[in-house]
Amino acid sequence: MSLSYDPIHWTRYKRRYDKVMAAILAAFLLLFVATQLLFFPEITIETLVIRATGTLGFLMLHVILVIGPLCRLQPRFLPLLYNRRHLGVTMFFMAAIHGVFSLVQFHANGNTDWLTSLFTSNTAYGSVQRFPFQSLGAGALLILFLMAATSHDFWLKNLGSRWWKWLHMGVYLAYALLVMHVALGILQFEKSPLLIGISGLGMSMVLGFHVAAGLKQARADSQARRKKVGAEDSPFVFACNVADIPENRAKMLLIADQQIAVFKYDQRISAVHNRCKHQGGPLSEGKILDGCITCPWHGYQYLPHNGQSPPPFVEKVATYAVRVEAGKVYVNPTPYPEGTAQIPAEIA
Amino acid sequence: MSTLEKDTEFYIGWQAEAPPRIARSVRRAVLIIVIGSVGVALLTVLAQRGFNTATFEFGQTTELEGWVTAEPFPMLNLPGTASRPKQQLLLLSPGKFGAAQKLHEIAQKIGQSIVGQRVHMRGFLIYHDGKTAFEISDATLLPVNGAKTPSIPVETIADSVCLRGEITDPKCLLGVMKPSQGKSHLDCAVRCIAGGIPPVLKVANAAGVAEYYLLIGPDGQAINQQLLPFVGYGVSMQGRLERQGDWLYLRTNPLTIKHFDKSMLHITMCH
Repeated sequence: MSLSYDPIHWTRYKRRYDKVMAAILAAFLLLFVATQLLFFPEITIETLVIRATGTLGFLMLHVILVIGPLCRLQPRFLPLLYNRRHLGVTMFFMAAIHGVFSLVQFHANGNTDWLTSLFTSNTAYGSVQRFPFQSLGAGALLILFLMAATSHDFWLKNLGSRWWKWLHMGVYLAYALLVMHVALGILQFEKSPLLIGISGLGMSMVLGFHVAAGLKQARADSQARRKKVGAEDSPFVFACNVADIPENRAKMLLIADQQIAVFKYDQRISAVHNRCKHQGGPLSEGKILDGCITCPWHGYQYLPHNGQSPPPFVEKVATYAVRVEAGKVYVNPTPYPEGTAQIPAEIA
Repeated sequence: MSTLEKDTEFYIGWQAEAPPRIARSVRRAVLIIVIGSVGVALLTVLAQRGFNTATFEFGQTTELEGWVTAEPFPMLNLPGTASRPKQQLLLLSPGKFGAAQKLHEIAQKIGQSIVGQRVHMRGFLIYHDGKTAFEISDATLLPVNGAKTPSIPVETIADSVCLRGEITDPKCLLGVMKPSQGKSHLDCAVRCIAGGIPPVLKVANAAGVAEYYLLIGPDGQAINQQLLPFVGYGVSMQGRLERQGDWLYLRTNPLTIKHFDKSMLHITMCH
């Protein structure tokens, strides 16, 4: 959490993350170039750069896309998610080097400008065999640029988390375009079963992790869903037994359209809206640290009784009224305005 | 009980150290990423079809003396010596342009055309499979001492042939780019041919032995624009086959060109 917008809010963890990432990227490029020069020394330097950065960028995108569902499946991998935006921006730079070298190589120094050349040299958009695959890569690069350029809390704050999230979900469109770019480009050209197999494995991993995480989430949502039963005049809904909530942890409930995180701490129960104001992280998977609900994604914190970030921070989430009767927790699913203080329910 | 409930460890990135189990899991994940990256780097390189030995001596200036002829395409005709036979080098401009642009620029500079003249020319050699092109940097006139522009005889090999191959540009094909054929090079070949570089039909048999045919219209006119829709794909085309010096020419009517399945291109002659 930060009150001001530093270009990068460095922490010891981020530095270590970036060092490991840089070491892996450097090792990949060195290995790729060395193997290429050893087995195919006739390659030109331009083709070497295009292939090395294209392969690395596409591999990085797979890793980026797998990290999210991996963390949904096993929260112990959350540290990989914590600094993922550095991975994303670096991946964009790899893609940009690939794209710029390709544009210069194939389209510059000709009888028309490079942008016109990109979209008019091959216009067989109706043919799978002849489809102009470079335009697909250009579209993906544009999306990745918009994402990299707005991959900062300044834009998250000013665009609003909903629009920012919507923009950054564009990574799936970029991935789809890049899959077609690769399939209709280098795979069609090389016709190598091994390359087709590697690409297929990558796509299967991305798809498989997302399906598995989706199924897990669907099961969790099903278990969290509660219906109002009992007295019609009471707004409170049975949530769970007190014993079902681990100390300093939460239980997530779905009541009507409300996602509610019910926390147990210091012999008390409080409930807040489940989505963090930063990037929509699931607060119910967080923990009470230093008296604050701490989001598992990026560590944003809120006081459990009023949903407010501790001063001087200003983020707020909605709160809910809770009751504890005979070891059972009841929640009123009508949200109070963000930051409204509630009296925590005492555990008798 | 959920995974989270079983797991009492919790880590936030601004904390100095991760709890041991979380740190161990992350280290394992990083190790898998490293192993996967090594595998991808090695396999993607080794799975490539490879590259030919075509050469572009970019940055390594060569100086030559010879006669410049313009028909059907600009050539630098090198006289034979005791150690080297006569040779015709296909002239090209820098970038994706035929020789016309550079020849015009030199003519403007020295006040007269160098076509039909004996010249001292500087530039970069591009060569492969016994064919050589020359990217012009600059040229100066040499005294002719009464000599005349050499006439390179045209020999008709066949009045009508049908060939199967791929249309591309000789500049990239002879060494400027690798790969210089197929879909990944298609856009560049279109740009080169649209920019006046003579189109060439590469015909290769099943053993990979290739021959190159410069393509001109039935009356010797440039047909670059008409060929653009066929660049980079398998085609069959008919025409009169001629040889002039080092180069083979196919005089063809673009209307006779047909797309052809590339997997069948090793059958080089059609009927």
